[in-house]
Amino acid sequence: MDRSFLSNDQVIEASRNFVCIRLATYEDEAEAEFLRTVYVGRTGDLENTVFVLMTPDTKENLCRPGRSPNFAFRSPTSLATEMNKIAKQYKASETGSNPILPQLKDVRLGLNVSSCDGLPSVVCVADDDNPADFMHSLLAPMAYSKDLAGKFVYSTTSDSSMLESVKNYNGQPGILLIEPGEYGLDGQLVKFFSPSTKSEVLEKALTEYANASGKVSKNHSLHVRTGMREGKVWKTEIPIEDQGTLQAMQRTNRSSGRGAPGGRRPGGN
Amino acid sequence: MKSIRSNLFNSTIGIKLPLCIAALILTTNCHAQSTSQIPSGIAWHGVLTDGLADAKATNRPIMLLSAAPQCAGVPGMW
Repeated sequence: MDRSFLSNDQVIEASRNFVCIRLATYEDEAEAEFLRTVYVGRTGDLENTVFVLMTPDTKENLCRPGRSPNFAFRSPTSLATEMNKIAKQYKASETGSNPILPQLKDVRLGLNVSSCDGLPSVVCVADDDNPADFMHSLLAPMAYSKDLAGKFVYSTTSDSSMLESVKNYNGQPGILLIEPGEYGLDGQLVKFFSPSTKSEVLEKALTEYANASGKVSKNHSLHVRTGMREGKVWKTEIPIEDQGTLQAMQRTNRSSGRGAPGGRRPGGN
Repeated sequence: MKSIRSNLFNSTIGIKLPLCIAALILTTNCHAQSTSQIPSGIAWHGVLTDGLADAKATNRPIMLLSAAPQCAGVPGMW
């Protein structure tokens, strides 16, 4: 993923007039099928990364699709300029009173992506008495607000046992602020908000936390080497297709004595 | 001549040294600031259907990205 483009201030500012979708490659068959219609490599396989700008109905690409923004743009500034130009062509309606919470499809992925981004995770744990919709309606306006946009990674579960690896969490429904572990396989509960917490209280607490804690950055090669040595393994939901990635994984698996790379089928373990 | 050059040198150092120290302090502080709070970022939808529904409802163009949240099978790294 090209961080120089996506962490650029001009691109971030331009993104406010776009709907930004970042999918996790190889984690959902239906999404993979959609991505294959956008861009595939020379072999016809879905590659690790995909990037494109599209019309709101997805019928037309608004730039050349590729593996990353630099397939179509020379610099972050040229991407931001083009985004601003495109945005002017659309009379966007306001998100309205019911914005959709930008979240991951489950907490397993949510914690991992949170760790990848070096950002804290906000997890809604819902049950019959405390529906997720209510918690989402509290969080969604904050997730797009000037002060909090892009500062937390959101996910939801109705099964608190999915968070057994989170230290200090007792399984109660509510909104959890979690610092992910180094590999996103576990985490630590930092703050717990009951489902009846008022939005002003929640917003104040999240703003204070964002202002007091930093974004974690990692050394790429050291992280991978250490992760392999410590047996930190991520099983993708569907098999990896990117040939370059597969070859690299086979090389590293041979040297670390790990088995062949594979994906888990939806519904599998 | 020598004394003029020497004076000039000394006065230059006299100006430059505090400036360098000030710059060093500022740089150190800036670095500390950048890591002491979370910077603004892009608000990413992580679910395709949610993102498409948002685009349809708001008529905003889409920036679509996909990336694997693992490197060589190790999680916690794009």
